[in-house]
Parts: sequence; structure tokens; C-alpha cells
Amino acid sequence: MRATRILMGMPITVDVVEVSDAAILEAVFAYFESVDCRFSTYRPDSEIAAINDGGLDVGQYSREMREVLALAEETKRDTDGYFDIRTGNGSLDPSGIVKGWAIRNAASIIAKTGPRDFYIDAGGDIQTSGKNALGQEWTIGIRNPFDAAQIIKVVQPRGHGVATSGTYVRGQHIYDPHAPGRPIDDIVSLTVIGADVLEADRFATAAFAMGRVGIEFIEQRPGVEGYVVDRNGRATLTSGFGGYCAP
Amino acid sequence: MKKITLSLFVIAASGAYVWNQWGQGSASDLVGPPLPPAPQVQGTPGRETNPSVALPRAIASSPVAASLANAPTREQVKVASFPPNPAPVDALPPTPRPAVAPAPHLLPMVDVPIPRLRPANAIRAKVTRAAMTVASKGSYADGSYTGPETDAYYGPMRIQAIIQGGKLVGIKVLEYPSDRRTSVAINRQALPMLRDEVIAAQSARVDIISGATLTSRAFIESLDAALGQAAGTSL
Repeated sequence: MRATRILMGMPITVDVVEVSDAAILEAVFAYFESVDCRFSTYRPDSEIAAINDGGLDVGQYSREMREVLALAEETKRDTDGYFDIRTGNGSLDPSGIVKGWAIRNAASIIAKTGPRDFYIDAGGDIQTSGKNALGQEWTIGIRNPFDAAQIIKVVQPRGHGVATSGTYVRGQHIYDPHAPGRPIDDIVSLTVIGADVLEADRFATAAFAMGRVGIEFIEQRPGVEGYVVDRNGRATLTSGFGGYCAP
Repeated sequence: MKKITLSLFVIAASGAYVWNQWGQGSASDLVGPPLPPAPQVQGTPGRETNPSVALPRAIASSPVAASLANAPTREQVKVASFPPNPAPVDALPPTPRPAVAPAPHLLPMVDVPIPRLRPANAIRAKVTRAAMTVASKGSYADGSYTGPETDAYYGPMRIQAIIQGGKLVGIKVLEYPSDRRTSVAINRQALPMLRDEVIAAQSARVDIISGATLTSRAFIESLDAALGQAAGTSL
């Protein structure tokens, strides 16, 4: 059973194979909603808004908030500061890491209740598990940054997480971003495959900020592989990325 | 400096395009005298790929050296390849720059971003003419209007709109995010040569699609606020 909702400012699709009861899907969507309530900088009553307003003492932070902030700090160290949730005006915006973290947790919710075959896709960041309804490996297409109707690469992550960072506009529509704005760079799309979607997401975010050098950072970093597209339509693969490409 | 110029150009151009698409109800006729059209001007935004970056039918993967030989020159591709419908971009005057090298390969000559502190005073502004094709709806008072400093995540961004004859004739990027405080330590000698390829549309059926959905919101916000001042209303 599959359903899509707009939550956290993006379409979130949950597909659990061989399940006829919508309860598990509802539980996952409810979880994403709760994450949004806590971490959205666009909600004046969120926990992150309270922190940024100075109205919350560190001792009052929720367990989830402390976990995400710790992950952000660790990622900042891992990426020499290219990942930093502190914005230009000094406030915190953890959305660059919350998405992957939330998907990973939502996948745990599903797995704990039993199903082994499912995927979650939140705004292009994907965690798969098991096989699709035909008993085959889940296949993921990387969208062409120059033409949203096309895909330019097909990968089978085999349970690994997939995240794509980028800056491009699709057709006539501008996505209403619920992630911080980025300066446009010489690369337009970077897809990272990592041990899980959290790993993929945090490094995709950081490596994109590095521009052309980001793919080398991914190559050097153990446990993640990458596929970057530059604005000339030229792509570069890390040495292990080919292993995920569909035969 | 070339990097900044190019980045400003790209930001201003794509911001102009983005603003064009977004601000239908919030802008007036801003078009100055039309600038000379470039060969690839496309009348209607759509899904046509810019012919100068037509994708090959099959992946042309090749060693880096060979791919260098086939790399499109910057004059051939230009900024028009991004975004896909760059009518405003094509109308912008070319930024003077020397003959460029082929697309950079990864060993051993890639420039690692040099650590660069944000200067105390604003980065020297670059005036970029922006050709807008927005339906007429009111007018702007002449002058220069500076938008608020907005958060572009990797630093602040501030846009100034220049109005002459009631029309938007230029955009200055007064502050550009260049918050690269550190450079990443990469031991390039230890890296194998990474494979390059030209992207190509795939016809395989897939279960899921991974793509990005981010735009430079900060640019839009600051420009929009600047134009709001010029129009005398908040947009």
C-alpha cells in the first residue's frame, strides 16, 4: 500500500508492500508531522523557534532536539565546517539533517512493526528496505537536473540510503523551499548513497556546498558514494558508485 | 574574483528568471529597452532542452583525458544550460572573461576553495542588467532600492534594485554569501582518477525518483523586498 502526503514542505511517499491496513502509513505520516512541529523554522511554536528566540534553556531541550543538534555538530566536524546549521544571522536551522534523520526513524517504525519490504521517499531522499512488489530490488532513478521529465541514472541501493542535493528549477514552478537557500554553484545535482539515508543526507548537504570538490570529498570519505552533475551536463562518479548502478 | 563574478552572474540571472516566474502578481512592467536576443532564446518556457546541450542518446563514458577533448566549451554551453529556459539569461550581456580551459578534470589541477574570510566591507558590487518580461501592472519610482539582508545559508545576501524610467534596469548584488571559512583537507594524490561521463536520458522503468528541490530563496526574498520599496507597496 502506498500513499503520498505533503508534510514538512515536501511530498512524502510511503510504500509498504503486502500491507492492506493503512494504519502503518498513518503512523509514519504522524511521525513526520511531529518532526515538523518540533523542527520547522517556519512554525512560530516549534521547539527550534523557541530556541532561536532565546526562550528555551538548554536543559529544557527535548531528547530529539539534543540528538539532532549533536548529529549536526558531528557532521560539522566531519566536513570541516561545510555543514553548519548556524545561519548567517546566527539562528539555527537543522533542516539539512532533520530530513534524513526523520526518514531513518520512520523506516525503523515500519521495520519494528514487521514489514521488511518498503520504502520512504521524502523530497527525493530515499530509504528502501527489502524488495518491491514484484520481488525485485528497488530501483531509483536520478532526476535530470535540466529536465524533470527525464532520469539520467538508475541505481539499486540494496537497502542503502539515497539523497540528492541540488539547486534547479523545474519548468515553471519554483519549489517553495523549506530548506535554507543556497548560492548557485558550478554543480547542479549531487546524489549520495550511504549506509542509511541519514548518512547520505548529511554528506549530500555538506558536499554540495563544496562545489566541484565535493565529489572528491565523497570519494575520500569511507562508506559513501556519489554522483555529481555539473552545469554543463557532465557527471562524475566516485569509484564505488558504479557498484550501485543497475545492470 | 572571476569565480565571484561568475557566481554573481549566475545568481542574478537565475534569480531574475526565478523572479520572473514567481512574481506574476507582484511586479509591474520592468522591461527596459529589449537587449539583443541570443541564438537560443526560447519564447515559451517548457520542457524543451536547450539544443546547445542536447543530451547524447547513449552514455558516453570515457577516461577523463578523452572527455576533456569532448568537453563543451563555455561559449558553446554558457549559463544557458541552467536553468532549462534561460530566455532572460541569454539576453544578458556577456561578462568579459579570458578564453577558458576545458571542463576541469579532477587530477591534479582542481582548485580547492581557498579559505576566505568575509570582508568587513561589502564585496564590490557587480551591476547586472536583467531583462524582465513580466506583465505590466503599475510602476516603480526611479531610484535605487536596497533589499534587506537575507539568509542564503552560507552567508548573507543583499540585493539592490535600480529603477529608471519606472522600470527595473539593473540589479546589484551588494552582499554575496561567501562563507567558506575552511577548506576541506583532501589528499588528492591518494585519490584514484574519477570517471566522468556525459549525462543521458535513461529509458528504464524505476520504482522511485531521487531529485533535489532547492532554490535560492534568499535571492528572491531580498529582490522582492527591494522592488516592494520601489513600488511603494509591500509585495
